[in-house]
Amino acid sequence: MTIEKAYLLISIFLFLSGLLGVIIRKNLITLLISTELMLNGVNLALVSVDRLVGGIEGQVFALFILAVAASEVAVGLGLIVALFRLKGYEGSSEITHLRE
Amino acid sequence: MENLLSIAIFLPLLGAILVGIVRNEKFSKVVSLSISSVVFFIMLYLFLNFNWSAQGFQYLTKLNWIPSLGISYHVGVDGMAISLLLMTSLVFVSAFLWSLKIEDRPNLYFALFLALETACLGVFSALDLFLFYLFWEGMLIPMYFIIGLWGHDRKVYAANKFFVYTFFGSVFLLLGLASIVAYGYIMTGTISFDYTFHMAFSYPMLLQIAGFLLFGLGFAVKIPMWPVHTWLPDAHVEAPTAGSMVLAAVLLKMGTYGFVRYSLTLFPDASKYLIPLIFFLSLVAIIYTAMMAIAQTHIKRLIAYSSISHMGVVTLGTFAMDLNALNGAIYMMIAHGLSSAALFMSAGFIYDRVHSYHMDDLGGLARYVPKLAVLFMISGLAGIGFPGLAGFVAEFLVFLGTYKNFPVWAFIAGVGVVLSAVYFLYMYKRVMFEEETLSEYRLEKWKHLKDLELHHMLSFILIIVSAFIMGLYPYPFVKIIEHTSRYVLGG
Amino acid sequence: MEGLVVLLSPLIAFLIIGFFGSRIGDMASAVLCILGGLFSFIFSLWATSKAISQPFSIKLYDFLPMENYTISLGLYFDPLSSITASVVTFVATLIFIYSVGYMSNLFGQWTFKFYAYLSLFLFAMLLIVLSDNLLGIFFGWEGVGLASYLLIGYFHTQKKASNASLEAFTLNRIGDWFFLFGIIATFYLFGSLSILDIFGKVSEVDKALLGLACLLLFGGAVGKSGQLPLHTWLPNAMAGPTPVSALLHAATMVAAGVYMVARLYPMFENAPQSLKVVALVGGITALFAGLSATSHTDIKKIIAFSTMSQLGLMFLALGLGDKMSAMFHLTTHAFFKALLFLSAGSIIHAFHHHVHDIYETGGLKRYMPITYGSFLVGALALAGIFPLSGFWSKDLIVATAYEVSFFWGVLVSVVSFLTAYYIFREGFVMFHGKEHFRHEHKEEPHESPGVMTIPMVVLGVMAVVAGFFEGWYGGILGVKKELHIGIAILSVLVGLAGIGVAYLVYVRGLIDPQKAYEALKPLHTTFKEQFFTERLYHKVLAGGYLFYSKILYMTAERQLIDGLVNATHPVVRGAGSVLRLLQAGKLNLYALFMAFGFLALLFITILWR
Repeated sequence: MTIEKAYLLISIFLFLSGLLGVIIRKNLITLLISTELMLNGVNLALVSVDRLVGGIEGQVFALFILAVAASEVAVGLGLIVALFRLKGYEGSSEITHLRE
Repeated sequence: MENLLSIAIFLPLLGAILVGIVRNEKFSKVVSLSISSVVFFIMLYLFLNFNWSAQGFQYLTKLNWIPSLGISYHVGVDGMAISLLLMTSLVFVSAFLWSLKIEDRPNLYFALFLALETACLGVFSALDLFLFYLFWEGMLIPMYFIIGLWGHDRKVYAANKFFVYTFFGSVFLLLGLASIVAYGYIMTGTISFDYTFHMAFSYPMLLQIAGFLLFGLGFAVKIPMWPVHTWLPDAHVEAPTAGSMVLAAVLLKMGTYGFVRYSLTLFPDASKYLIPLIFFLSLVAIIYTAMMAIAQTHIKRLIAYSSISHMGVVTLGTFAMDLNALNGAIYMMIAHGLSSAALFMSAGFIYDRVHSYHMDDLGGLARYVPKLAVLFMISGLAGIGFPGLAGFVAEFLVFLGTYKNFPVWAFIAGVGVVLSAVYFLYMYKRVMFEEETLSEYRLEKWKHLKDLELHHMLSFILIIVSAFIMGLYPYPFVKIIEHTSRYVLGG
Repeated sequence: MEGLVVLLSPLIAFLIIGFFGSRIGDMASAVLCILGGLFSFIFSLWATSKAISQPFSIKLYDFLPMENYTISLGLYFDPLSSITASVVTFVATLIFIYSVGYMSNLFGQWTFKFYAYLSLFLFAMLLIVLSDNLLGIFFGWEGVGLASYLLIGYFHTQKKASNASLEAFTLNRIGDWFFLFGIIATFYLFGSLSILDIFGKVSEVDKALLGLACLLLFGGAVGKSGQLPLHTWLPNAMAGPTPVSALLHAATMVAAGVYMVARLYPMFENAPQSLKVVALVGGITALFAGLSATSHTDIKKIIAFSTMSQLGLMFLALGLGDKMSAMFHLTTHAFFKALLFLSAGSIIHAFHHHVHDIYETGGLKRYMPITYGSFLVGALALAGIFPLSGFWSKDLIVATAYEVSFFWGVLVSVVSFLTAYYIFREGFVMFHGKEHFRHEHKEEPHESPGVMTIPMVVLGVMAVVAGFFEGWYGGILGVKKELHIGIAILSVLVGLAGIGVAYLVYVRGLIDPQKAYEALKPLHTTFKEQFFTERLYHKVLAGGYLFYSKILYMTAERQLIDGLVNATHPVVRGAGSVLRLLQAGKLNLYALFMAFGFLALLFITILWR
């Protein structure tokens, strides 16, 4: 097993644990952290596959994703804080406005 | 002049739009009556000029509509279609005449009926599968509102049942249409919804059976065949009189028309293969629904069941694979259209005057509404296949043709002749006779009943005279119908 | 074209009366109806004179195109049909005249309907008699059925009449069902429905199939002629006005079955097995109806059973291969049976239509001499006493029966004995004996007006003299029959014996009938209930059909089929409420579904390769 494959396995592990967090956790902040985990799992995958095939696009993508994720976290955290302030929500199951 | 057929089809729709814009009660009535009469005379003209010895469809019009999908506006008629169109336009004239005195939202009523007429005429003349399906479904919408808005107590239930039931059937029909179009595309590389294009194919057996069953389910619901028939009694019971007339006379014929036009020609081998199934269902329809009919106390429900029973004769004749039987089946469609319309008129009139359909509330009417009594009797005789009226010719041909290859089936089906007479006359007795069993209170009410008015008489006479003409001189009608039967069975 | 007048004049009368009857009035309608019958009679006499020398046919129009054959309607005049047409129109015209008197108390109450129906009936009957093809016969066949339905139910306000008419039409329709399929079977045998074509090819076709066709056709005759097992409608049909009973249910319409078998006799002759069935049905019915007649007390029902019995004898004669005597008996029977009914009607009329039981009358000889004379002539003719017409025609049947086998001969003799007994029983009770009507009716009955008695007298004359035409009739039909002195004497003796018994019991009072009935109660009830067939049909068959239809409607239709259909609603609704949970707005759940979806896509892409 090469080191790249090991990195890939770690990335899959990161992604899946993020996914698990998204599915089973209710707290909004935890959800945000879990999505970050998934994103980083993907990032790791991109970089390691880049290394494997000797390309450069993956690393560019990874940088992009980092930038986007940063702004996304800023916006998402702002939304969550606003929701908490206005409605007192902290769990995802409480956001059912559209259903009714 | 060569687009006369298309003009006749779309004239009522134009009328509907006009009626919708003007919204004047008198105008609506005049426009609907005159437009339907014009359509009737156009159809009569086409019928009289129809060349029964020529092959193929006549009065054709073909325009490209959605060329990329092979959909075109393609209309034309053969012998069966022109006869049905004539009957349809006649029934609509009669229905409009009957409704002249309607008071509840007349503009909408007439507009819906005019739209319905376009859809009905379209179904019988469409030669493009897509166009056919469009009219087939388009007819549902006005009918839904006619039942749902002008019906009786449980009108919403009946309208929903009618709509959902027939729509359920239509879905299978659509699937069938799609599958043969897809097959055509796979085989030839051109996508086409044209009927004549598909007639040239001979499909593999598996597709034939699948197509037959899919089409057949759509048609069977519309006819309706046993056991998918229960929407019909409810729809009839709740529908207004003119709605019932059109429903029984025209809408039911679409199913049997579809069997002759599509199932027999597109899937000939599957039709032969599935004869036992169809015959079984037809026999059950004839005998079982005749039993249902005699168990009723509601006049319209009884007539509705009798319609199902007669449609059983049609399906029997359609699949007997014999020229005479097929002629008889098509003849039966027209004959039943006339007789059932007349019967529903009688029932509707009784309701208008007495405000009840239940035989327990009726009885002894013969002396108080004598004109109705006579016309009701003649309509009933037309229904039970009395010689001299149209129904007899049809039944005779169906039984004769069926007897050739399936004598036992035909003989058993013949019991319908007896049973139909029994349920009709039993009903007639309970509605019209036995005055001595009535209470004083009701007799007092009967004494003030008004007999048929002029417009009622006219609409009755139109239908009954036609039934007599078709019963006493069937020669030209059968000749024209044979135009269809020959190619359907020969191809 | 003159032949067409025979058929068309009643039709024209019907149409005029039907459309304008309410305007021209009842009397004018009656006159029109009589004129229609009269014209028809005159022209049918003309047609007879022509047809005897040379049969001819008239083609009307092409009716129905079939695959390789076109059915066209037409008329065929040969001795058989034209003589029958003459007899029918003659009797009908007389009865039409009679009915003017009989219905006079109903004038002003839409009685024009009655004449319209009578004209329609005559038209349909002539269509049966004169048609040159089976389909035309079927038209008339159903037409007389309808006319009979309308006329039996003429007093439709009464429950009894409307039930009787329904029963008549239903049983006739069962017969018609067989007849229709008989026509179809015949069509496939001969490739044609024209009587002449059929006669031409009758010896070439398959015997077994021909027999089947004959039996089916005979089924129609059974229905129309009130033979077993489709017989119960005929006695009940007496709910109609008496002229109707005389015309339809004695003289003409019920004879249509016999006529039809005679008309198609070449077919039956070539299928001898079917003739055996005809003979059997006829013989059993003759005996059955004769026995039933002995126990009834309704004025008209006794004569109705007698009609059934005589028709049975005619069928027996046909079945034994003797067409001529059957047809001759049909002719003479038309005269004397119409006469009997008219006399009965005259009595009912005298009591203002309130009396229907023979024991409510009595001793009428003094008050109604003409009616008495007519009834006596009719009864003697029916009993077959020399030299009245019934003697000649019945003697032929007796002779044939003894020729074929001793069994049939004895059966016919027994029936003759019963006939003489029951008809004279009725006569003696009504015209002799105590005046039972005294309790109910204050005024004495009086003789009917001339418009009623004259037709009776004319029919009476015919009932006397018609028998002398036997040789002539046989000559025309090409049959020569010798009179057997021994058998003639035997049948007259049997008839006299029947009359004698009736005389001893009902005039001399040798045995008290009431006590005899008590003593033989089971037998009496069995006869009176027509061997319980009527009860079986009404209660078990008709009632059962209705009952099980209702049961089936409540269970199979309402619960099962419609229940299933309506069950789709809760099922769809239930499915919806389950599926709705998936769309609950739970973010985590959506994420799970996305994961599953992604996984599924992954699998598909992997497996695809």
